[in-house]
Amino acid sequence: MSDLRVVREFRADLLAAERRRRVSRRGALACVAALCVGAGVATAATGNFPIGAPIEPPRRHAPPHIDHPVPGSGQVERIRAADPDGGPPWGVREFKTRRGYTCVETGRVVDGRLGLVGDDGAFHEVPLGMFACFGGGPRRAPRASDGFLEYGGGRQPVPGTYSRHPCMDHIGVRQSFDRRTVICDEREPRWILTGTTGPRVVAVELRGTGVHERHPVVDGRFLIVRRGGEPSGVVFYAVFRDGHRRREASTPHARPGPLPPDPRIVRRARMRARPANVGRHGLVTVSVHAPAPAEPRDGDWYEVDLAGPSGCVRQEHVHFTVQTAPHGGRGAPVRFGMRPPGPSLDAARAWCLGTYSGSATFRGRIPVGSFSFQVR
Amino acid sequence: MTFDALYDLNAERLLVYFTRRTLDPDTALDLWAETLSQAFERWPRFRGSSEGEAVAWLYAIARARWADYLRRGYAERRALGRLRIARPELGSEDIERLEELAGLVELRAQVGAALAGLPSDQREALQLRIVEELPYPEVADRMRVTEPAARARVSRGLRRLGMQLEEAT
Repeated sequence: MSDLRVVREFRADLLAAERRRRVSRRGALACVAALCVGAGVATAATGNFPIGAPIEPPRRHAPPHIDHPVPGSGQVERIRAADPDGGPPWGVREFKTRRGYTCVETGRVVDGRLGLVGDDGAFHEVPLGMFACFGGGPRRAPRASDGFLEYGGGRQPVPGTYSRHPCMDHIGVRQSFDRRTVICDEREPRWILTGTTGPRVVAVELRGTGVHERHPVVDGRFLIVRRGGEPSGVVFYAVFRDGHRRREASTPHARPGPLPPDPRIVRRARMRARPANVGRHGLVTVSVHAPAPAEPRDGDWYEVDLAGPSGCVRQEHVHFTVQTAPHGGRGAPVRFGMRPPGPSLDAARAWCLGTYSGSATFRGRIPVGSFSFQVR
Repeated sequence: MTFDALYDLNAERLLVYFTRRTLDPDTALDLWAETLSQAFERWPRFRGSSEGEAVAWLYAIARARWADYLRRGYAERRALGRLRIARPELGSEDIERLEELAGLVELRAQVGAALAGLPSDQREALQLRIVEELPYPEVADRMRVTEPAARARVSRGLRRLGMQLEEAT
C-alpha cells in the first residue's frame, strides 16, 4: 500500500461510498415497497449531502461606504433550480440592508439554508450578504399584465464551487475585505438569472440556437442556472397562465435596466488608488468619483486594465471586471478593493515591486479614467 | 481481479502520472480523484478478466479526464459529487513525497527550458490558457486573435512542448 496518506484515505472514502450506495439501494427498495412519496425521496437526496462548517462573517470592520445586512432579515424563497452537475439545488435569499435596500443573493440550498459548495465537496452555510447582491429593490405591486418586473444576475458568471483561495473577481462585496473569506473559483462558472414576475406568469422560456428551456415561476420568482457564461443570442419569454408568450428581452443585452449614465458625465469622473504606497500583500482601494447623475446602478460594472511594473512577467497585464458596490446608494462614490492578482499555482500572491498603473471603462465601453499606485 | 486490488496496485502510480502532467499536485489530485471515482462507478460494468486489461481500462479513463482538463481548463468533480465524497486534501508531507515521486523539481526545470524554446505566440497562449486557466474566449481576446486561432496555438504549443520534453527525458 502507498505511503501517501491521501491514497489511503481516498480508498476509505470509496469504501464508504460503496456502503452508502448499498444502503441507498436498500432504502429505495423499501420506499417502493411502502409507496413512499416523492417529498421524502427529495429530502433524502439533499439531506445526505456532506455538511461543512458555516462560513464565518468577517470580523474586520468594513469600510464605512459599505452597507450591511439587517441581521435576521434573510429569507430563503421557495424557488429552486438544479445545478448542471448535480448536488444541492440553487435557491434565492432576500434580505434587507441597514440603508433600506432589498438585496437578493443566490446560492446552494440545503435544509432551507443558503450556502455554497466548497472545494472540499461539502456544503457551507454563508452569512447574509456574502455573495454579490443582485439588487432587488422593493417589489412594486404587480399588475396582471406584467411579465418580468425585475431581474438581475446573469451578467457575471459565478462559481459553481468555491475555493478558499483569494480571487480578483467578486471584489466589491463586503466580505472581500476580509482575507479569510474571499472565495472564488472560476473553474466551474455558472450563469444565473433570477427575477420576479406578475401573477399570471407561470414560467420563463429561453429560446435560441440550441437552447430551448422552460423554467418555472414559484411565488412570482424565477431562477435560471446554466453552466458557463452568459448565453448569446437567446431570447427570454414570459409564459402566461393562458398559454401566450411575450418576448421580454434577449442576450447579450438581457437586462434592459435604467437609462445608461451620460457618457459625458462619466468621463468627468475621477479615479484614484489608496494607499498610494502599498506593501507587497496589501489591499489597494480604487475609488471613482462621478457626478451623482452619472452614478451607476447596482450590478453595473467596470472593466479594469492593470499594468504591472516592467519585468514583472506574471502581472504585466491584468484584466478583470468589478461590479459596482451593491449597497452604495445614489450619489455614493464607487470603490473597489484589489489584492495581488494570481495565478498562484506555484507562487504566493504578491504585488511586484514598482509602479502599477490602471485604467477602467464603464460597462466595457465608456472610458472612466486612470489611477496608479506604488508597491514598496 | 477486484477493484480493491486495482486500486492498491495503481492508485499511487496514477497520482504520479497526473502530477507529472500537470506539474501541480493539487490539480493532479482533482484529476486523480475524479478518475478513480469514475472507475469505481463503472467497475461493475468492466468485462475484462486480466490485470493488464484492468490497468489499460483505468488509464483509458485517466487519459479521457486529462483530455477533458486540457479542453476545459479545469478538472471536473462530477463522479466525486455523485458518490458524495469530499475532495481529498493533500498534506504537506504528501506534497513533498509526491513531488519527489514525480521528480517535479527536475521536470519543472525541463518544462521551463522547453517553454523558453517555444515561439512567443504559443508560449503566451500556454501561459494564458494553462497557467492562468483563462477560458478560450478571453485568451483569444487578450491575444487579439480569433478563438479557433487561440485554440490552435495552445494545441500546437502543447504538442511541441510534449515533443521537446520527450527528447529531454
